[in-house]
Amino acid sequence: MPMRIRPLPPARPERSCLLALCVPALDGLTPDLLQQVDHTLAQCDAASLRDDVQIVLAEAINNIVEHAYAGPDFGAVALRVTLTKTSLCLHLTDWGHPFRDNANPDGQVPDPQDRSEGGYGWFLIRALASRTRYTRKAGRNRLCLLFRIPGTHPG
Amino acid sequence: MELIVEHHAAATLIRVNATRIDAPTALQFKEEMRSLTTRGDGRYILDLQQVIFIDSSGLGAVVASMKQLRPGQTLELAALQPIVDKVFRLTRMDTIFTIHADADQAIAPGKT
Repeated sequence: MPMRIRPLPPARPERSCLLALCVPALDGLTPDLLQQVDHTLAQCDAASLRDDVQIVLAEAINNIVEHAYAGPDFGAVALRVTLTKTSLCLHLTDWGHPFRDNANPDGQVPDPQDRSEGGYGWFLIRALASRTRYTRKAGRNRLCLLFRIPGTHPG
Repeated sequence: MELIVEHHAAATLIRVNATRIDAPTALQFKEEMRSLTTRGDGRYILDLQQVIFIDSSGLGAVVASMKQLRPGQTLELAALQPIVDKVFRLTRMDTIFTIHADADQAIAPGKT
């Protein structure tokens, strides 16, 4: 496969990387990953987003474990957490199956009267993240989950 | 996942002795709830005082625990911590459960 060499993107000093790691996509490891992110956020300006980040990140990783690496497939998930003055962003990468057409739903809330046992994951992500962006490129799934920091105005 | 059962006159109290009901533990939670409710009747109160985190799998397991009840049994919830409370409110599942601020209050004499 031909490789193209690209110049490095210009450094963005206004955006700092708080955490970058890559772990096996196994649901048993998710609590540890969530805890690391939570400890990181507790020490920065985005501490007010801690609960929302826990809820959203858990759902995003569950989706990767259950759908991107469905069945016997096994793989890794990479996470980068970046911070600007106005927003916090979770960048998730996996090397599994792409989202199916119906697996990246618009996140409608199930009717409580249906007593549904599933279907809440994407709803919670969309309800709590300010913006979500999914891209599929070169065999990778990338999901960016952006949270505006309360009380700040995007520049 | 450890569930501690206390029988009181007003209700059966099930204390969740774990900090999370999530993807790794949801199935076990659901199965243990099933075995705890195979007999008996009346009110069951799930005390979530120690549960600081729940995800959609855990929420589904709590809903499943309610759906697998037998006639004459009801499931109520108590002591929702901030993240658990938020997940129930956002999904509006707080509208299909009776929710108590505190489990001991829920089993106080005279409460039904």
